[in-house]
Amino acid sequence: MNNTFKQVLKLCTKLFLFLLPVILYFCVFIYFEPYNYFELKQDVTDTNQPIYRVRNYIKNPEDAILIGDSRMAHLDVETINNVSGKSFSNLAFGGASQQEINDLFYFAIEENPSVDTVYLQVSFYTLNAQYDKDRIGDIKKTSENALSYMFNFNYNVEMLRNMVNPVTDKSKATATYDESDYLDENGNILSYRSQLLSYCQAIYPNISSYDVKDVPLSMLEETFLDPARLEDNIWALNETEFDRLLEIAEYCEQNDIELTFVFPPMHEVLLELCMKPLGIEVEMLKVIDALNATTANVVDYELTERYDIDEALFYDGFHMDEVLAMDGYINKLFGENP
Amino acid sequence: MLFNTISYLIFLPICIGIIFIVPKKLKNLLLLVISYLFFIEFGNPLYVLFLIFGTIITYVAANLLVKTDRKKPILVSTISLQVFLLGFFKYGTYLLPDMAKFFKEIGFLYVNDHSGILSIAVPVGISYYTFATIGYLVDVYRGKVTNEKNFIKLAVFVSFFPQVLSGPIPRADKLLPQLDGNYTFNYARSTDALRIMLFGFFKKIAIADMLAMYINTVYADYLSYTGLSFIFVVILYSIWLYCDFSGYCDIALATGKLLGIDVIQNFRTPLFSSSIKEFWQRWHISLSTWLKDYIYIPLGGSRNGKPRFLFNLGITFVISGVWHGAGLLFFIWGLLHALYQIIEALLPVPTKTSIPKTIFKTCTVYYLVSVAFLFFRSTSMDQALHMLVGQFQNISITNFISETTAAIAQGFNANHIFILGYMLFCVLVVAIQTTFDALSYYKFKDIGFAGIVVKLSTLPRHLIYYMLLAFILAAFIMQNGNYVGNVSTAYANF
Repeated sequence: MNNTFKQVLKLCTKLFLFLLPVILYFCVFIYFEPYNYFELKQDVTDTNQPIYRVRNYIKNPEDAILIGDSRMAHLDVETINNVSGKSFSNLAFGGASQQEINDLFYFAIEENPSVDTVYLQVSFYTLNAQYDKDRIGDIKKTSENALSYMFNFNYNVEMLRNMVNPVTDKSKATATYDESDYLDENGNILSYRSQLLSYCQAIYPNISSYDVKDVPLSMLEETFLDPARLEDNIWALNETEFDRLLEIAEYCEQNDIELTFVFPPMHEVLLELCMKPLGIEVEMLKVIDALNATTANVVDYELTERYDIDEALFYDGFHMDEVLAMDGYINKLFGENP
Repeated sequence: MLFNTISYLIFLPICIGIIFIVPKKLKNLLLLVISYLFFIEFGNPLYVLFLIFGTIITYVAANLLVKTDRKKPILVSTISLQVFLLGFFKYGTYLLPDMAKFFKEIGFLYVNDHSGILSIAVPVGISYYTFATIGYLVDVYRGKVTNEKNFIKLAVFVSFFPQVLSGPIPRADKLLPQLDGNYTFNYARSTDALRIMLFGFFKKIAIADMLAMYINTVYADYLSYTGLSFIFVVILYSIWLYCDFSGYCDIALATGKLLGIDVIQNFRTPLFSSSIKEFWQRWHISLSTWLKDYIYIPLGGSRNGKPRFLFNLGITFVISGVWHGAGLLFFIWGLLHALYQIIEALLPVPTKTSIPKTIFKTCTVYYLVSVAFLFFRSTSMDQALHMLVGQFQNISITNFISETTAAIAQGFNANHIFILGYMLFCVLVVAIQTTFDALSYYKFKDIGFAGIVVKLSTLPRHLIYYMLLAFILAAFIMQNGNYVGNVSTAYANF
């Protein structure tokens, strides 16, 4: 061994020792990351996140796909497969915008050109121009590039959180309610369950400039129904994504893909206190008409074919009880619209 | 390709390893290929054509200069052509707005900036290699350096990858003699280089890129901020720019050192300067010495009386401003430095110094430099003036706290614990950098981080290395893993 080689080896050894803590950190990362990105673990701690769903789809794409936000993400694929007789991939994830839903459609058909069935979610909430999140590029990049995943701040935080307190997707959104849930702060009876009114309050900043954050429960209904609220409407149709929906319908028609636009169920509280007073319902009816004019199926549980179930079966304004209501909904959506 | 990317950390050892292995005859050719690949990887591959064109005309002109008696016309015409090209790309859009439309129509070298404004794309590094080639030609003309007959060697001088994108501006008399192909491994030199590189990464990633999240948010939405926020961001911007550019230059210097090539040290703790003159002796040294040697001195320097000296000083700094870019803001930045220098030159030289006086002067210089940088960073005159005047209006601690929190929430993360973590992180990294710079400036005569740490015993030295590494890694992750090329460096724009 000549002297130069020995010195190179010495420097490399020192560099390795210097970088050892970084290597150890990433070993810890790989062990505790909750999405089993590296497929080194038996169980996946959290299957609901887009990173898991997109990677899972890349590895094992099915010809039938679901795309949407949390309302589609919560649907159990096994139950759907049993009801529909088809094998589905669920690409939906919580908080998805319409742009992300549409981007995922193109991603899905690019990854698997033999896709033949698509359930694509549309709703007044995702079609709101104010709600314009654009994360699919990052999710795709992270799904395909391990370094991007390992250096991502959010996934590092998730890893640390999982290390301290393991993340699980086993818990389901379910609850039972009693009379106290229908009372305001003064003990008076409310028209709607308090959680549903609070939900309207929570989503209100996305659709109205009127600040309802500090409005007490007892005043909420009155505030929402005040005709003056119409002036505060900030909801606007995302024209770009609406046009893309029409393009998707055309694409599916040309490529023999069975497309169903699904407007998921929502509790009437959102219709009565948010959509109608702010004039959103009128705009959305035009959207539904336009989609009905395409060759795609339109299942509108939001406005025109309201999916009315017992109020207690709604966990919040948008989400149904995952234990008590989900199977019935899956049967209706995939049994009646196969 | 930028230095602060994982791609570079993979690219660098492979390239250096190959350069060390290949026969001496091929080393410069390989270094040239690597430099061009590095250059192409940064952006539009067409940019390399301008680099090659600049190299060819420089090579031809330099060799003609030594063969003819009519030296001056050759020198003037070649420099004019290079300055024309530089001026065309840098100021074309500003002076001839329709030119950008023409470029768009022919589908060549145009860009739309974030506000949708069409402009001619400036070939990256053009300011640096144009100044390098002009300096070389003038040196050949003056007989300071001999004309380089080996085209490959000259091409490496012009395009040497550690400095082609953002400087430092190479000088022929320093760099050309080192490009002899004797690039071999040296343990002591390599460890020294890696120390410099570590601190460079620390300044660039752990400080500049972290501070950028806050600073850019304030600049982007400046109408939402008031008094103390403006003072804070104006002061912080100098640290950001220093860490961004000097960190980048440290990595360039270290890269050269790994190959056994000494690159000009571009910064020597400039933020501790107690006069504007001293600031320019320590800030962007390769540019300030270039301007001195090729503009200020040929204009007569300080030889022809005080009025002429002040004029020469002023015009040099105005040219410096114009070199940085088109538009009134860069011009004002240069003009402010010209005024600072002129006023400083007119002031009586103090006979006695004291610690309070020095502290006062250092703080004054720092603030004046920071105010000038306000024009350098702003995107419009309205913004610059609003922030300048705004420093003295609506001074409120409560506003400052809520505005800072909101800016960090927007630029980094809205979680309160992360906001606090971000603040603590920034305070710590700036304190570490300031400590090393202060030690270098006041105690160790500008030996820099690498010089200081080797004086320490093994344990504290290694603790410092690991601490810096931890900060770099944490910052890298906090920036969402910006390693795929979406990061930038301030001086890549000039």
